[in-house]
Amino acid sequence: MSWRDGIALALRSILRRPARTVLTVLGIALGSGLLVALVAIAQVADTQVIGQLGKGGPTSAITVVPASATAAQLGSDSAQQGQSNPITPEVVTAISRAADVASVATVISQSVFVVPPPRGGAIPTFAGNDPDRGLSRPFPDNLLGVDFSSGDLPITLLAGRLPSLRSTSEVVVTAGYFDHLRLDIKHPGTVLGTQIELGAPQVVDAGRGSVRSRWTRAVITGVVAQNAGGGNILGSQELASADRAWQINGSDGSSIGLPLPASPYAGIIVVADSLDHVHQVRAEITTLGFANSAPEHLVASVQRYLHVVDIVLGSIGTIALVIATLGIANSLLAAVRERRREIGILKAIGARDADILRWFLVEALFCGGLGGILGTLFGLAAVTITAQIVNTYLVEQGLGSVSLGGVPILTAIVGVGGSVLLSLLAAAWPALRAARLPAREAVGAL
Amino acid sequence: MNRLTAAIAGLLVVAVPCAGCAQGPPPLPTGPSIPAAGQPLVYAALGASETAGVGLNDLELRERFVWPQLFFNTALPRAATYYNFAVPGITTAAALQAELPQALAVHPDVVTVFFNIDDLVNGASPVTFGTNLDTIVHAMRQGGRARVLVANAPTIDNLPAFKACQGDGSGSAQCPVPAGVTIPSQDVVDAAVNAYDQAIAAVVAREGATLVDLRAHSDELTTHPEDIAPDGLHPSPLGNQVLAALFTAAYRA
Repeated sequence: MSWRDGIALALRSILRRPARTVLTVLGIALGSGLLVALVAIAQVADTQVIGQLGKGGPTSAITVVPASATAAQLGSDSAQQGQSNPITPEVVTAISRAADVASVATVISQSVFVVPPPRGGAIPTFAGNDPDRGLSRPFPDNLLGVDFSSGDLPITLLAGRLPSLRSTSEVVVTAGYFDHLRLDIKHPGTVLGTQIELGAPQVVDAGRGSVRSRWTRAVITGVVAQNAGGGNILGSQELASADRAWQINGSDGSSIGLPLPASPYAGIIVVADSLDHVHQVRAEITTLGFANSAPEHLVASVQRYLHVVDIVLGSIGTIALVIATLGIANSLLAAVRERRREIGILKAIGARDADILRWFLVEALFCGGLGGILGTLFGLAAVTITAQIVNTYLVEQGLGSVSLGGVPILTAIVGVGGSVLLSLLAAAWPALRAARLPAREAVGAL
Repeated sequence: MNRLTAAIAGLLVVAVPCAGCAQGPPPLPTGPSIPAAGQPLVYAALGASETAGVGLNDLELRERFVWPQLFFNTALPRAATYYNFAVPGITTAAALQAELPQALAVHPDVVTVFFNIDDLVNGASPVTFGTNLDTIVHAMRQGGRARVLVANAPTIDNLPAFKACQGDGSGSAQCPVPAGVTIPSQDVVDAAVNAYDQAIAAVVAREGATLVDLRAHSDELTTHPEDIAPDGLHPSPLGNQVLAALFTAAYRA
């Protein structure tokens, strides 16, 4: 009997009992689907939970603040701040040259007065002297100048996009901006495309409260979940630097709440080259005299818990797949019993044990393969639907959405391959039993 | 055979489209459609109390309604930057020190110049006023590099504050002329305003600037109560909108 004959015989047997075949395939599909879905969800959960600890930036990111570190710094994830300690360009250079540092991104903070829409000709005409009725009131805030090209910022985009690189007329805003305008963060798209006016102050005479402003206009291109410092407007470093230079050219306005900035940078985002090196890099930054924060202890604890969750979910999926495999074994054992006559006839006309073995193994291979493919597709679909439901909830809560990062190819391959392998293992005993059935005994069953 | 084929086909029909969308969650909305930011012009506003926003009752109101802000928002591209150097109560003589150097430092492409009432109130002669204004406009033109818009003075005898100076106490406005200064008659004031406006016209012609003819819109600016702040002298939010519209029209002409 050739391979082709064996395959044809197996297919004929499968089609002769379609209901049993479908149920067997569905059993395998459900088992493999459950395994794939649980493993994929566990992977996404691991990534997202750890990612949330990095607030959208790399988990190995360390935030350096312009303050000296206390003795308790390295034992704590949060910044243990002492006296003010300006972050100068020299400090940035020293940190970027430290061992195990992958990248350094600076943050500039600048006081601004924000005038929300409407503006210009869009302002309604008022007859009285109280024209701000019904209009969002202007408010003081901080403009954070960041390098959007670094990709290492601890921010998560909720809607829209980040500003174009080096643009001085595009910004993104945080949930705090929505609070000022009494808007609902659940609908982040409402502010996209609107323009705000940003006024950077320059104190002329603090005693007389004389302040001049440098005004720019910017369109809101996106909404982010967190900020990279203490401000609700994020723009390019070019915009913040120009505003900062304007303020520094004026007088100190501490008495009217507009002090000159003490530190050239409001913070630095330092990224270690791996999670394992975060502690060493924090130690180097602390030695340089700066308070810093990173969720290193928290990440380690969470990783341990997530590993336990992975084991539990993987075990549940594996048990389901094993049960499905037993279903195949049961199905094939029943088939062997039903086909004793055929086995006897085939052996009587010259079929070898290997031919009979091949017949049953091909049947198992088909059921396992088809079940594995269908189950993997169902599993991925289940993950997608789950992710969409979770995404909707997260965005409603003002948090970043979940990204699966594309089809988990390895999980899919393992899902299909595992189904096939387990099916063959499950079929081994029934197939061997069929192959070793003596022809006389098989025919005698007639 | 047919039943099995149909069953498998049915499963595939359900499963394949679902798996096809397993690329991850729906993408976040792409950024909004944003028109070009335009030229990065620098705009400087020089002037006195009207330009500084006196008459608007608080800071939040000033930052939204002062007329240079409205002009900046209406007439200039999004990439423009705007500086307001105005000082309340300043004369052209004082502005030569307190505003001109600071404004030149930002190298403006567009400049608005609105002085006259405070010079008038402080008794500066039209010749002195014209000389100082010429110095300011000439410097701000930067050899023809910058576009300079110069506003003339509207007739002021209908303003409640002026009427208060003339002894008309029917309104709540106070006379802005310092105590001890002799209040000139209406004819004298009109003649002074005319002389100022002639001096402004001469400076505009000489320096190649653009005249913002507030005088031609005096009625609109000084006789409508809704355009005038409670002090009877400065523009209200609506008056600032009128001023901004006149500057915008002159800029676009």
